[in-house]
Amino acid sequence: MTPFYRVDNRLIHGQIIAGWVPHLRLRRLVIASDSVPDSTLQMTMFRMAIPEEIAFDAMPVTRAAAWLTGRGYGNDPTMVLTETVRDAVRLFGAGHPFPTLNIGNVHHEAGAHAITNAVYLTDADLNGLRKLAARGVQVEVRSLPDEPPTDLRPLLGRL
Amino acid sequence: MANAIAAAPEVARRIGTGTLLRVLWRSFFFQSATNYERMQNVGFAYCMLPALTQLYQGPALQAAMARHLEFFNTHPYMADALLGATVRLEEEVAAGQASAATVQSFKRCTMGPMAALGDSFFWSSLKPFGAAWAIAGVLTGIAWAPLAFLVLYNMFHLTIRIYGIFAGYRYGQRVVEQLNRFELPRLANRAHYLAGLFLGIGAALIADAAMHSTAALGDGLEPVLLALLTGIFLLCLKRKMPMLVLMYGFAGACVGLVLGLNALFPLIG
Amino acid sequence: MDAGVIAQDLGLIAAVGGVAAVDRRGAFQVMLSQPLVVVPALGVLLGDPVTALWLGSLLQLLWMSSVMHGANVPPNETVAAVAIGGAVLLFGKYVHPTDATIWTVAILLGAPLSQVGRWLEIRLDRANQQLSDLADEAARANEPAGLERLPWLGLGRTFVLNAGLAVVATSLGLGLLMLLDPAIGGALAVALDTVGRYMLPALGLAVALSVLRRRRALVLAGVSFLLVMTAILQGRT
Repeated sequence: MTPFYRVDNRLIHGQIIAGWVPHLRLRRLVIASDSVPDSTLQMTMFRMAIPEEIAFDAMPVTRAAAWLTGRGYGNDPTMVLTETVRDAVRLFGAGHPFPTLNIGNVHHEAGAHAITNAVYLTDADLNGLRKLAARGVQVEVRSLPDEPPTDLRPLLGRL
Repeated sequence: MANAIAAAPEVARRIGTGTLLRVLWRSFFFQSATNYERMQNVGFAYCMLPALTQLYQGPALQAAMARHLEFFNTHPYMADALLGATVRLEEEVAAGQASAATVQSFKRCTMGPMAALGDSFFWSSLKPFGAAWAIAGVLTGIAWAPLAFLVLYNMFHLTIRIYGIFAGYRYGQRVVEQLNRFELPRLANRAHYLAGLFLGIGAALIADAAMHSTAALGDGLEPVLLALLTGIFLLCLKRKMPMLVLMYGFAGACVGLVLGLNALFPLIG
Repeated sequence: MDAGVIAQDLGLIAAVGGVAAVDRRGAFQVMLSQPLVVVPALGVLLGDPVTALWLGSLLQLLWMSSVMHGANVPPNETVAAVAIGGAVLLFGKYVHPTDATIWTVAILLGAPLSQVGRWLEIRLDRANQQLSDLADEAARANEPAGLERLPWLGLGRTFVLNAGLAVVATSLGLGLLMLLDPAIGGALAVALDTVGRYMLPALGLAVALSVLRRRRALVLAGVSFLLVMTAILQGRT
């Protein structure tokens, strides 16, 4: 089963635990981030917030690429989370091509374009996503499973 | 970086209970200026002000206000623990024992997991359980059941807020470990089972009430029909059909069916 | 009908609608916004708590899955509940006592208000952008007082607009109920009674069950249903 790939600046929060985990019947959450695995505080908090029966891993982006390609998650329905679009692009570039990418929440920064109420993308983000789209990745913007997804491809052409 | 949960360096405590109580009171207005760009930023800064004005003056106060206007988004009840811890961190910053970046990184990396805990315990578990329990009460004729719902729910709500603000200030970043003791995810699971139990009771009471009505369906089969209909709706909802579509679709079909049958075999007036 | 008394009742509905909206998103969040609480509160104020308890329970079940996660705004059941409850209670007070047929018509008419309410909530959050900008200015000017008044602006807007929406929606609902009332009778009344006593509760139960995350919780619901049902039927024979 191919994991579900998502960009979320808050990583694991209510939308993931109460929304996506039951919807996709997830058994494993994986964070690909260079800073999270080293942060004892964050690791404690994530483990605390994730229900016991869900496996949880966090690893640096390049290691995550190798681990995911080697199907380290076994048969678990899995969600792979990155904090930024940049990390998602890096994961792809590090030798782990994924077929779809969900953009859940990307918060506002100076100069970012408002895509939805929850997603603000900078020009650098948009360029990264264009690269992914050109390689066949289906990019959608959607915070929760029951929202209608916003297909980003037409927008990528325009912005 | 706020990475290591080290023992808090003993910086003298300057913030008194009175100030913490003011932060607590303000935290009830945490979401009053929610906006899409930075979500609860105004709320966070508003809550921090009683402590900030005590710790800083002049340009330092200006900088402190600005850094608490950054993007922030978490569960409103869980915010108190983070506010308490942030007050303690700011105290350390004011004493020169920590950097402003520590505060920002603490807020940034705790808001998500705290939202996960709060959303899944309060919104997705305690609220449905409390409501199911109170609805079963209403159906058995207990008129004050909604009041009991408010009391039960807010006991948990106020406990987490009041505990959060004081434990947050006392333990600083280590408040996270303290909150772990509440085992909210486990309580959430229990709340789901109890909600199921009370919804079953509620369903039986609804079926009983329907047996006394003039409804067109029935003749003793009311409980079976209600269960069947509930099952069908549940399957449709699981298939992501919107509630309103089901409501209008089935209501229309039901009215059409009864009117049509009555036109063919006139039984009712 | 005394216009003065009705105006007073509409004023109460406006106040309840405004307070519930503030509690829902802006301040306190003590769950006054839940249909199970807000409709019985209207019932006490307008003199028919019994109808309000049943109606509030039903509306609570129908919108049990409406939960706020982060920036996502779910359907606003508070606006729908205030208007549906308000219209039914006013109808019962000034026209004639209500039964399941009137409640059903009111719910079918008022349910889309949950989308109107959602739209209003999103507009309000967008408008709050201005408050965030003003907060930046206050910080730059080093004026805590400038920042401290902003939450009240946000809450004030929420209260006023939702109170207004509650009055407009309730009056509209009451008017429509009075218009449709003469047509309800015979087979149509039986059909609406069936919708109100079976279909809507079944739909509400299904929504509430769909919120439960554990499959075993569903099994538990089934078992407790069978046990209580058996006890009720036994008690009757």
